[in-house]
Amino acid sequence: MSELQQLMQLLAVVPKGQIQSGTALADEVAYLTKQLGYKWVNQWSLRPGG
Amino acid sequence: MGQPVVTKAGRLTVDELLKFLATHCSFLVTNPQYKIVDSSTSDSFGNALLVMESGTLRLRFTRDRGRLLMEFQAMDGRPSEWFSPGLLRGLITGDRGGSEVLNPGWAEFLESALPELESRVSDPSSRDTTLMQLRSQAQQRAHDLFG
Repeated sequence: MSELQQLMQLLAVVPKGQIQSGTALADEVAYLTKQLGYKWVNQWSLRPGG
Repeated sequence: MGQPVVTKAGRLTVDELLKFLATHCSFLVTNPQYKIVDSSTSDSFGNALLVMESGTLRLRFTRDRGRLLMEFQAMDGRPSEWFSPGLLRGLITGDRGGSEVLNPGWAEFLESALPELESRVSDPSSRDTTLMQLRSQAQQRAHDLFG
């Protein structure tokens, strides 16, 4: 993970509980959480490493 | 003041939603309780939106980056709270299914499940419980999707 990624907290456009399976957004968030180690901070935001 | 400009590309994306409804959701289109109350398009990714309402439910169909999706909410529920067909399927059958991108199978499910959803949401004695169960399904889905 780059230094920039370590600093970035991301805000989702849809809250965690409303992201539907099979959508482009679900794919992107799954990549962040499963591949890059991002953790949900709350319903709207993710950050690296929790 | 001019009218909003809808580009040809924007019309085509709404057309795609309308075609899906006409082809697979005639149970909605021909249901006098449901009316189309809003639609919009965006040049961004060819996204589009179409909203239908009955006295009980609001249905939101979207084209998001080429994928058709549907969500619903109780008319007198939280304005920002939307539920998806997978959550409803999880509630009714115990299996949310896989991708929630709309296809003929999801349309068939909606046709079979909408009367029960309407009934549950319109009845004050079951509405709150149903919404809580849908929220629980949403929490479980988020856990399954993202860990």
